[in-house]
Amino acid sequence: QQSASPAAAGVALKGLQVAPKLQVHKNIDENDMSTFLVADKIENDQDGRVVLTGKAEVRRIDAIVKGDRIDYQRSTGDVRVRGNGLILRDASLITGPAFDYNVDKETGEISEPDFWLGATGGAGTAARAEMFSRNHMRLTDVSYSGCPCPDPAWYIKSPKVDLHFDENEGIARDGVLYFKDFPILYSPYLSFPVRKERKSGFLLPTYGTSSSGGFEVSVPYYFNLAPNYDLTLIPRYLSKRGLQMGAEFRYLGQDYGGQFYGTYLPNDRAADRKRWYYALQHVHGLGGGLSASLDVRRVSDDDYFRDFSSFGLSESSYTYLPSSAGLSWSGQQYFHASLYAHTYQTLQDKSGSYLLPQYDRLPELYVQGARYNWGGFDLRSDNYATRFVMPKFKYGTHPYPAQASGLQPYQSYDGTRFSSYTTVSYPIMRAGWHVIPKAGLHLSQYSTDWHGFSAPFTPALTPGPRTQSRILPIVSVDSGMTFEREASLFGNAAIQTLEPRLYYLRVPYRDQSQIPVFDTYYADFNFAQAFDENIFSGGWDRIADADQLTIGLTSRWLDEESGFERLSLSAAQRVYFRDQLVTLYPGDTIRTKTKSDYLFAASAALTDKFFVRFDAQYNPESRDRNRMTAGVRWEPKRLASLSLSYRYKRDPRQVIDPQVQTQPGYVDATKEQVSLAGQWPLANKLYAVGRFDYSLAEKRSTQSIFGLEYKGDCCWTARVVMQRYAVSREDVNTAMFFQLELSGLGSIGTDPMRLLRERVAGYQSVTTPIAEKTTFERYE
Amino acid sequence: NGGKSAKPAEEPDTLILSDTLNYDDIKKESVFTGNVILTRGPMTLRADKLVMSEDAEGFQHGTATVEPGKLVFIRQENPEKFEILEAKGTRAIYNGKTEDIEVIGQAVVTRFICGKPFDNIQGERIVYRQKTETYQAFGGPNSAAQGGRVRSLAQSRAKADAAAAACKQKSASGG
Amino acid sequence: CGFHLKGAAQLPFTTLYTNVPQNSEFGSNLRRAITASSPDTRIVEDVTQAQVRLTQLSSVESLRELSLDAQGRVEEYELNLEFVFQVTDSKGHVVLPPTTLRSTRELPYDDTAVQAKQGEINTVFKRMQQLLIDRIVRHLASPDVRQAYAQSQDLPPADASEAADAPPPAAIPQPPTPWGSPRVGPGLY
Repeated sequence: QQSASPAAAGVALKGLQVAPKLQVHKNIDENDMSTFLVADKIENDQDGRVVLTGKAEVRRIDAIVKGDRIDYQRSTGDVRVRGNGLILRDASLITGPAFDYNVDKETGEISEPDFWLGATGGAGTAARAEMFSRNHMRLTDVSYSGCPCPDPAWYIKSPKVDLHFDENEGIARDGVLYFKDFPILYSPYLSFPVRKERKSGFLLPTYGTSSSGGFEVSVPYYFNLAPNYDLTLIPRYLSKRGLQMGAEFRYLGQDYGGQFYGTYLPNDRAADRKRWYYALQHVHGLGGGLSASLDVRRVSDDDYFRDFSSFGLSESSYTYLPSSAGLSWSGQQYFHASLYAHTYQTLQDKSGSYLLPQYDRLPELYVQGARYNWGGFDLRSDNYATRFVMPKFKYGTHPYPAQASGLQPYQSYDGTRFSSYTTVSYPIMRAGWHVIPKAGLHLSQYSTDWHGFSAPFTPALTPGPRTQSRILPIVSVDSGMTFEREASLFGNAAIQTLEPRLYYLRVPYRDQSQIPVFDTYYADFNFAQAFDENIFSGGWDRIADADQLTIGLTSRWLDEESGFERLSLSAAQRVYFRDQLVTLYPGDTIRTKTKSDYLFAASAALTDKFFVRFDAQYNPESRDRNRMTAGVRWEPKRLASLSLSYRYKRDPRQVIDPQVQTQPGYVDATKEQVSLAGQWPLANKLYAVGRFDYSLAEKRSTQSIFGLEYKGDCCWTARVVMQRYAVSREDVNTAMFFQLELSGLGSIGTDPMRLLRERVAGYQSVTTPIAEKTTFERYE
Repeated sequence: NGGKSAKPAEEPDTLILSDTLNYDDIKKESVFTGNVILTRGPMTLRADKLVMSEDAEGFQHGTATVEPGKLVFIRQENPEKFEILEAKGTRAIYNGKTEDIEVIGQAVVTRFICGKPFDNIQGERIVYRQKTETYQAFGGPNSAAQGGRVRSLAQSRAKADAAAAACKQKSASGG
Repeated sequence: CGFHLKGAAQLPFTTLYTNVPQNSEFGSNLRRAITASSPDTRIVEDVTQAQVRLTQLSSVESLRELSLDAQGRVEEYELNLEFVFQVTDSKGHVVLPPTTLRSTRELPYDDTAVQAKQGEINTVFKRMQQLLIDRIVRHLASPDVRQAYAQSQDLPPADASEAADAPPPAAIPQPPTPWGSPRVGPGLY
């Protein structure tokens, strides 16, 4: 019975944990502790005062006091230290010429103290330190820095600082923050973490400008509410739009977890309306293999992502905002079921063409039965019952679509689909060859309310029958062999393989031109699809008739010793024994060619640091390429990587009918693009990160991002990121962000560089985090 | 020190046993050698050689030494507090006038409460003043403690009082 | 030209356990491929009886926008699969240290058919996973592993016998977004 631990359920909540922290010697009662005295000379006097002189030490399990001369009155616990005084407690170290301290009451006073707080906390000097209790210490005329380096890059000067160790908080009154001895911030009230732990406080501020938002500054504040939930408020001021308030709430329970992110801008000056966006993710283990989950995202208007882009690149590229909610069950080994509702919010691009919304699935029941290697047979059955609903047309979202207006407010037909695809296969695998015969039966039943629309948008406008069913057997045989020989590649011994593969597929023809299309589309012709059962992908509203044989040949060079794949070359082509009659829409052209394009692919790890990749789709008749991509990646050392890639995709209409170019008004939609991405250390402290995509077809850059990161001597990093990307057909957003990270002043919050890592291949974070030290590491 | 403020309990007599005794009239010293055991009221001393001498005012001073590899052993009982004080060292000096006991060389003084060791102090030279019950310990190259330093362990007061109370209760019930 | 049909490559051990679930396409084909390559090796489902453990440490499918069209809409996704596995013997010695198998595919994307494309992404990931099987078996049958296993036989049991084997995280089954592959859509921010 599966345990339902939410943390592993894809709700990645960094930093939250449910278990309590490690405790140090908490079970020894204070007055049970024995004291060790060490000195060059020890004497006591009549009233029990012990005087230690000469490098004197008073050691107890929880504290150590040192000095040239120590008077220790055991009855009262008073300790008077004169000369090179030192006290060490819970890894916090304080030294000063002279101090009085009471070991039992843990109060005391230290003159001109130097202090180091916690194993990795801050350090500094002060005129005077008063300890009111174990938890509270007050420092006057303080210079404090969270930077654990001999010459700290930043420090706070303040007449009065109160340190509360349990709350892990330092409060400086009238503090001035100096960076490289230059005052950059004054604040009557400054709070900072004493130890490097999750702590409430200001996170890293971000300054920047963007063409869509103008000058902006955001200063997030983090509330460390509990070990297993926390809140971050992100106020963000945009000069062109106003003050936007963002919030992120994360929570983790024993068998549930989730996070909520939202932004709200009451009055957007540029668009003079409210702008908001929220995203809620929640996973809940109900036990017994049952679990519920929710993933809802909504936005106030279509242009939200175009106008508000934070560090992210090309976030504006989302046209459909998916949301889902439901239950899933997998309590039994061979069965899995789920009941889910899926909706999409369509974000129209006013400057572009009208986008037909996606079908919502309200709800979709899915039952899967699978039994593998059952006496050699693999049985699998996927059954769906789905109710498709096309959202109604809402005025004002976009100039009226071109379809006939009479069918308002419907935009397309709705309907329910029952589909069941059960397959049985008997894989026969031997060392040198394999044969996998497979037979399947696909049953589907449609009941459609056409709302006056016809079968997929044929001009005839005659709605199809209300209920239709389709029964199709699908038979395939996948076979392959593997030949080997000794070879050598770049001088070292290798095994070269030759792997021919044959995949025969037979699917009878069924007229499907009346069947509605809900979520099916042409699959891209590539190596994965070449050996697949259907040229359509998605919910298989169309199953192509097939009597075809796909021939593939792959050759690989494997390292003799480790089996590491150095180089692989492969080619494939499909031979058709009949024309294909099933098309997605009745108007599409029917494939009559007897041979498909060739597919080529090569990938090589020439050295452990240099990788090459190439694949292409080549049309033998027109002796021309329909698609080609080539890429080179070089990773010489840590924090350095460069990748260059070229992509070409011919206009699909030209692929089907080469003569289409001669037609008047033809706009060539061929795409050709070069992209350079990488991260490179310019100097020993300066790192450049960048990515530049240039469209050769349109002779302009579609997206580019460039970041410079200067890693200060010990605990500061300055970052500037410039980015420029298309947000809609017409306009482009250029943005620049600047950040000064003073490690130790505040935790970093969401690391803006994480977004760079996702966009730029091979990017590794530059700032080595301050090593996590424990209280055990500072001891004398 | 001047006149005695309080009249001390009557002067305990000193009993010294040893294998041999030689008296040196010129220096007015008596030298005891071989398994020397000195008992004087609550204090006993064991050594290999003890040199006793008398100063002008009639106070007795003793210097006890041992064969190499052995230690002079001094034991002082304090029945009211159920405490026993043990001192060890390569050489011990007893000053009858000040009643100070001085242990020199690998000096260790341990305080037992109700038979259990509680506090101890190690050094090269430890002076214990019985009158004021105070001590002075000095480090040095021949210190019992590591690094020529003076080291002292002081058990927590609570434990010491608890042990004393237990001993009192046991002796009271034991009769 | 010297090519000969690939013969069986006997593995030096006779019983093997793997934490890849048995009742899955990937798991069952992996088991078939191992027994095909080394007929004398038996796959056992009880870890204590296995001389050698093939442990899947992680299998991460990720999606990255590769290129934008002029209107700022995603034109191509890059699909990355990173599969990390290791081989240890019953006494806890590492026979094959954690090895990462990477595979990358590019898939043109058309967001007017987001649901269909989601299904296609899922199919490509499944194909990429199947192709891992041959590379895993190659590593398993390589001379390095054979040698490491031989050496580990005469070593004393490893003292720090780390967790018997890291079972793949028993996650709550992912809510099946359309066909359950990584979400095509904006992150939370």
